[in-house]
Amino acid sequence: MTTMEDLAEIKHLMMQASITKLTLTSPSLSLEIVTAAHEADPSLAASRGSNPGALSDAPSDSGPARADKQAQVRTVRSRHIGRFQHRYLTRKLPAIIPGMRIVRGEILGFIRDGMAMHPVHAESDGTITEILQSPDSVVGYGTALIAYRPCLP
Amino acid sequence: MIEVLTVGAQTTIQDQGRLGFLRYGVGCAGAMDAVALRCANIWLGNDENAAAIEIPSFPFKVRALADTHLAVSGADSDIRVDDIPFSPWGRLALKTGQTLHIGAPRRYSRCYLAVAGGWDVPLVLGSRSTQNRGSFGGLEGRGLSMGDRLRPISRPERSVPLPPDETWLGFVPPYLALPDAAVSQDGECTLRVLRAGEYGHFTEAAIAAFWQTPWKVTMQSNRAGYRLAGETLTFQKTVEMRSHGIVPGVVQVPPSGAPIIQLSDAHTAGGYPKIGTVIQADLWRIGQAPLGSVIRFVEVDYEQALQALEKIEHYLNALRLAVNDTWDAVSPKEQT
Repeated sequence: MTTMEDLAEIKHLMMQASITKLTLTSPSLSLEIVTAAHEADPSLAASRGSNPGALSDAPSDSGPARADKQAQVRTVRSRHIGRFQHRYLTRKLPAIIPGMRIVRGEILGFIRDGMAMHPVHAESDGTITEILQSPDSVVGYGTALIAYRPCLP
Repeated sequence: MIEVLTVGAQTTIQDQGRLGFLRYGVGCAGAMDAVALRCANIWLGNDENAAAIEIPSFPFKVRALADTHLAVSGADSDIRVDDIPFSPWGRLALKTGQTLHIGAPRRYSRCYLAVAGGWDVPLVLGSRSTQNRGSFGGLEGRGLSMGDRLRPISRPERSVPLPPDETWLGFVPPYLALPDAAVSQDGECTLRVLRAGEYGHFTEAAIAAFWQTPWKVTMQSNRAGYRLAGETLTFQKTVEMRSHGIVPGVVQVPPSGAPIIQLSDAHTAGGYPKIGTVIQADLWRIGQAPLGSVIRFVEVDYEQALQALEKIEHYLNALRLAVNDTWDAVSPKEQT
């Protein structure tokens, strides 16, 4: 039985090792633990110099040269009218959290319109910086839903 | 067209079944979860009886050999297109060369993979369902194998087009939309049952046990029937019957006292006494009950059984309306 204390310990160990995502799967259980990149040890994050996604979310003291390379934050907007869902109906965890890496085409959330669940897709690879709408909030066409920082080429 | 890359045992083509031939000893076959099958076909604008792939073992993986519109329904599985995660219970577009991966279910047990137009396998006695007992129907009367290629039935004048830029569209599954279909927090599934012909032949203790105790789906369960473990059901006196016609849903009790729920691949006749019949509206829920899961029975009458069926039809009607809305939003030029 995994307790909240266990989870806190796992999170601490993941941060120490600069691991942002841990997935455990069995036929009857799936557990995914995701830590926000900005919570990770800055020195460890900076040491992963070959990873542009991690660099783009590094703290502001990471130097002007690095800041020049940071992409502008963009927003994903709703293309439907409905209720914004952070997670799929049968899932306990949200599809995304701030700091999470995303890939183009990935489903970041849903707009529920009656029986239909319209996907909110990632428009490019990047890192989530903020979720702009609360769960189950009513959104319209063009409502900004999610802010993300695209990966630099 | 798709090519099967990874497949487990008992993965077969099924539609709603081969009805009308029980008198000749030909079983129904058909999808174990007919609601999921119908949903997938509704999303794609197919005839609701179009054939889909029934997937009871995982992982299952296919590659698109042409641009294809597919739908995945049934169990709550993790879906991936190439390496990108998608959600279950929706229709999706697969481009040539892309792969679709369906992982082990988090809940329930069978997925259905439908294609726009339905999978093109021969009609045998009015159905495309694989008849495992007779080894006919479906794809050469057998389960799918790695390397098999399946193509959809071409629809030159597709009545309902699909939006060309849509990559995925999800729908609310019945186990969330139908409150009385929900599985309890501890994973138990309650099935509604009508009394059957030999109900009065069982002892009072057996009848009480049937309604009041949990039943475990044993490993000796398959598409033909689910053999249950629990209390031993005893008869007031020895019951000897001639074989007679039976249908999916019938709960037989052999001399061992362990009940068997007859399912899609059931024999057409049997001589064991019948204590009850799972109502048609709940057959899909048995089909999704995993091996090892626990079920309970609750008694209903004929009117309640019909009302339960109506609720499913209302749910499917709501889905049809939602699907029509998605197509109405597509301008004629965009329709493919």
